[in-house]
Amino acid sequence: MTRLRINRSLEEELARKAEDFRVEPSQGLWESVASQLPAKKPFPFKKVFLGTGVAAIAALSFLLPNPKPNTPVVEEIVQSTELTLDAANSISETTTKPRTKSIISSSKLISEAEVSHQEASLISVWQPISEITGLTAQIAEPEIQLSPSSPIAIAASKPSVTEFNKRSWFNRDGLNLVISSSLDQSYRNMIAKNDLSAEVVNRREASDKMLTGYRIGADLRYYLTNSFSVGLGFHYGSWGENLGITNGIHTPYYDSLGRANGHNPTEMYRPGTTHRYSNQYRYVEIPLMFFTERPVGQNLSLGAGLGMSAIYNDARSCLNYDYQMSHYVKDPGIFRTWNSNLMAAVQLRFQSSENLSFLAGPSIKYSLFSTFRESYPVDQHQYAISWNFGFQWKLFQPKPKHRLN
Amino acid sequence: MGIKSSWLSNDETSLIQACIQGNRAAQQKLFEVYSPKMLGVAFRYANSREEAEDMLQEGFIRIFQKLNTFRFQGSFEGWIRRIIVNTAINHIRKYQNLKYECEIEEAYYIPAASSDAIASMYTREVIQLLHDLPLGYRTVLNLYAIEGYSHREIGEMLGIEESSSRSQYTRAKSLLQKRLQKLEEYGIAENDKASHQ
Repeated sequence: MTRLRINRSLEEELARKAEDFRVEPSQGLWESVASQLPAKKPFPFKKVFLGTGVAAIAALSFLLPNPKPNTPVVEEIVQSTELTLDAANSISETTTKPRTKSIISSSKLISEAEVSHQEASLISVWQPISEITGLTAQIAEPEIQLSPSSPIAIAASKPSVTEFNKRSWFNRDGLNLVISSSLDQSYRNMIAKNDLSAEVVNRREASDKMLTGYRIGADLRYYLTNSFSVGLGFHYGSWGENLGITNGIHTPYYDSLGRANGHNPTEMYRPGTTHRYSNQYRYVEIPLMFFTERPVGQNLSLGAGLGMSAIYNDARSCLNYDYQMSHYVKDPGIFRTWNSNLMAAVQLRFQSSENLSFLAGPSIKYSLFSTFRESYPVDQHQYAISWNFGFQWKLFQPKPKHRLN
Repeated sequence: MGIKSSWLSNDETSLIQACIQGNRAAQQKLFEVYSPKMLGVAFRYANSREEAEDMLQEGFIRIFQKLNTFRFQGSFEGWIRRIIVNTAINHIRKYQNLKYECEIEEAYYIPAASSDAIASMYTREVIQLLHDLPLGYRTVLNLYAIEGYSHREIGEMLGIEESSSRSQYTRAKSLLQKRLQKLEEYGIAENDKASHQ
């Protein structure tokens, strides 16, 4: 019991003495610490990334309740055109204008584009008819028994013509080829997989969190409806990071350790701020994206998409920290593996001709790069913000589904 | 941030917030305030002053990187101290081979040295006494007797069994007591004290 009391007292005395113990640091130690700290608060990439994601989701929720698809509208117009033929013929019998009948009777086949053309013709037909017969008010009345959706009724309302024109160009049904490229800026967060690699992460965090890159690619986009499409592609890209490094420690111990692990000691570096080194990676990815679109103006649509991709990453010229050697060393195969991405995108599409449209818009991408390498066991969580631009070419136009008898 | 704690003065809270914003002058001030004491902490784990300064440097880099995770609750000095201790332990695990061997008969001989010997010694002499212990013993003694970690926590930190931590501590304390007793016998502590006076 006495011994226990004495021992406890011994511990207390030790703690008291240790608490008083202070050592003044050497001159220059603060400068050494400061040289490894980031110069200013980094750009809040996580917040921007999350904000963009929320905006993309909000855009999706806005776009999803799109009006009824285009095809039924075309069908409706085609069907009502049949009714119109009867109505127009009966009207034409009361007139002496021969061109009315000839125009209508020449309509044998109505395709999507032709429907638009016929509608315009009907407007031009209707105007002289009304001038001659003075039937405007009567025809507009329900007792005339024209279908409310008949082109004549539509023609009585100018905005519906515009609406139809939008739908006409907007409809991309069928297969489209999209060629695109992007410029990327990424923020990276590294998570150590064990205690020993935690120091690796801490050292690297001070110098390299920002990455820049580019991507080019081709996608096949199939429109399931006029507003919803799915795309599958093949992309190639590259990204790079700037490391802060300083010269390695060239003692016999470190040099022999480096050689034993297959490294050239002159290519071993320490974290620091003396030099900048550019690590370059390249990748191929196979993205699968789901898009929804909605017209927002003449020849313009707004779309949003969500998707994922498989990515195969490779290092071109890289230094990676090896905690066992306390140096950056070249280890090009360290991230040579398949990983996965999640993506969201917003795009504006400008229709310049029947088959060609141009695309532009931002996207965000989350990537996870993992390595189980004993010398560098980390997960790299990468958040990218990109600006995409490209063009879309309609590969084929579906055959017309409706014929007039 | 706007969070204040009774543990922190207004000046300290402002200093921390400025450091989080990346204000270099504030970071230097923080370093100047805490570095002497934290270097003392690191020195107890290190084999040399140079190694202790390496630990301190790594520790402060980590402190500035993690400062935005400090919740302004509890002792800020305690928060800093935990990071320095963890950095020192990581450093030891990485660069040193923790060995616990020492003269077995010496370790198991438990003399009845009193704590008066320590009380009568100067701080630097006590630290030197700790420094003379084998690294493994010194580490466990520091963590348990001075930092107040439990044996279970020490086991997790060092990657050893809890029972190993207990046995290492017992041996470390025995060795320390034996050396203290020798000092008492030879009156070295007293002589040293007199020479300092």
